[in-house]
Amino acid sequence: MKRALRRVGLYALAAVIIAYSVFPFYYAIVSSMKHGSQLFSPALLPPHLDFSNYATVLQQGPFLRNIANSVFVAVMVVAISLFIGLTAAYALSRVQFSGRKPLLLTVLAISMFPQVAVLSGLFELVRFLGIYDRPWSLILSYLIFTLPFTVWVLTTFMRDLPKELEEAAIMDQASPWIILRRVFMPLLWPALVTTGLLAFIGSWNEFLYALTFTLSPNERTVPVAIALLSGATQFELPWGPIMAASVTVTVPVVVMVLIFQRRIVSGLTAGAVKG
Amino acid sequence: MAAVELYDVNKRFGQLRVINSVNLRIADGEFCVFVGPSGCGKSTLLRMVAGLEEITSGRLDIGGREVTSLPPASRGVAMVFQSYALYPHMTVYQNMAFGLQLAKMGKAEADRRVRQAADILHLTPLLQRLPKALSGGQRQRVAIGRAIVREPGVFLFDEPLSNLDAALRVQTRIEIAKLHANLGASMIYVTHDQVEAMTLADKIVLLNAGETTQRDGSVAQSGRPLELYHRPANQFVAGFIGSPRMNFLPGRVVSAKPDRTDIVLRDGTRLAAAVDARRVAPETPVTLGIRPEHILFGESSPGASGLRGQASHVEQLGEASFVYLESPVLDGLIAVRQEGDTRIATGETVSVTLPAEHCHLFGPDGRAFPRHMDATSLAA
Repeated sequence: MKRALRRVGLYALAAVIIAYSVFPFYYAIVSSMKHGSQLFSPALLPPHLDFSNYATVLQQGPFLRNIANSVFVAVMVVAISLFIGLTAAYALSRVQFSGRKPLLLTVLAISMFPQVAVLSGLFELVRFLGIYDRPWSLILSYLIFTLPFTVWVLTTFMRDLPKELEEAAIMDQASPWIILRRVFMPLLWPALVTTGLLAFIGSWNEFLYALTFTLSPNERTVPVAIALLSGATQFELPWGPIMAASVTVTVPVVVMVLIFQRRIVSGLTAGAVKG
Repeated sequence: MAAVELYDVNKRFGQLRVINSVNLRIADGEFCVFVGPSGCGKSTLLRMVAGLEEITSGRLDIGGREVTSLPPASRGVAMVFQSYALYPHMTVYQNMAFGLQLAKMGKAEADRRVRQAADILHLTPLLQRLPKALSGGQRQRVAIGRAIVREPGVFLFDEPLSNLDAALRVQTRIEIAKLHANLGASMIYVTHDQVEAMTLADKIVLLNAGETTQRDGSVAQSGRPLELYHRPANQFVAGFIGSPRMNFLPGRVVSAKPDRTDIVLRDGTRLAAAVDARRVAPETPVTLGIRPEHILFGESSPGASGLRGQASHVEQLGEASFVYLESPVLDGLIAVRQEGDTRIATGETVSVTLPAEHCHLFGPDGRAFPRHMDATSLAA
């Protein structure tokens, strides 16, 4: 009897947690199919399957262009972070040089800066480089928060790879770049996917720098575009289209996480491969 | 096939001389074993030949060329690691072909070499498997195969059998010996197991550890296995080669002749050893050494020296028995080997004979006195 009660309790708890996590997204989907005053009634099911809000959002203004901007920025940030992260991790974990530990700690410390604190300095840098109001300003600034954890995680993983594996490759005439690309990288897949995904999500959702460094509607990324969606009058927030836009931009991320979820778990838990 | 020559090779970590003044010549096609206790630097010395450790001072020649500052890939060597170090994400075939690919060898030639090596090592049915689907012995053979395909001048083995179980160790040991016979290549092999050293080597290099390295240099003795067995240069070598260890009895010189030295043990027992100890004066403290397999049971006859002791412990292995005797002549136990089973029981008083021609004698500095052995006891 007690066993059955405990079972029920466990499932009930799981149901509560799932509801808590999933409900906002579900409600957003529902809201995106409502119009006008329907939005202010808490109906849990959409009155009709109505996709006109989506049509509005996608056809109005440069929203499709904004999505493309976000994709471009996120993909470039992931690519550059992983490249710099991998090569830095190789140096920090496999090459003996003095100042290694302080360097690693500095890298970690940088990630603790609040974004706002760095904002004005970054603005000067962006202006100096002439990339204001271009996607490159965002790519550059996002590296500030993606690189620290990428370097840190990849260094930790690479440190655990057996030294003899590297030595065998050296005996096989492999240069450091070949060792990195053909011996270490295949073994680091879980770590690469984890950090890559986190970097992607971070850049995709980022708002402050995107708001500050872009001006024209064409150059904006998605979070800013959604925030600046305006309705018929000054006092009306177009919740329907806003919900539709939010669902549109969240779906790719959710799909990616679902595809890579196994890799993420093994990346966070497993650690090294014992050759 | 290449000869390896080390000229006064040293390695220092700060002030500590890990490898001290090694002079060694390994002939083309020779099987050389580096052996020694933990911390003697045998793996370090091997890695210096490989190029994975820097040589602080001295010179290394491989195949007649100086290679002291060359990277490993240019030295014409291939290494088999203790933990195999196979690339986990590559198949057996790819593991063996990797080095050849990097050397930009043609596909046909690389394929031929890989298949030939797989054939020699009986790996052909396993070529498409990943390392995690292989047993320890199979992984070891892939590691050896990876070395063979490079057709190096010298093969380097770093304790390749340590991770295998006892039965597999013996089997793989024989395979390595056959490989050497087939390929005729020079091989340098590191192990801490003196049985592997004795059975595989054409030449054994026994390395000192600790204080002795700093004082006397890294190499304790180098030579053919039976040379180290019959004529150890000092007490350390005598105690390292042979298992169970040689028995050491402390005593003093009574008189020395060219072919015989009389000594007296702690309790007054007189023994004779067929050595020439004339370089020291009478009353010099010396150590008599005799191996367990050379001590004979039974009362001494005129001309042979003997001891009595009480059996403290008896080990029966089936192929031989070991009796450990307590005796007033030393603090420890005297180990005596007997063929087959023994009927000696613990507590029994036993008489043993120590034939003079099998006795070694070591001076106060540990150095051995030259032995006078008749022709029949020289097996080498």
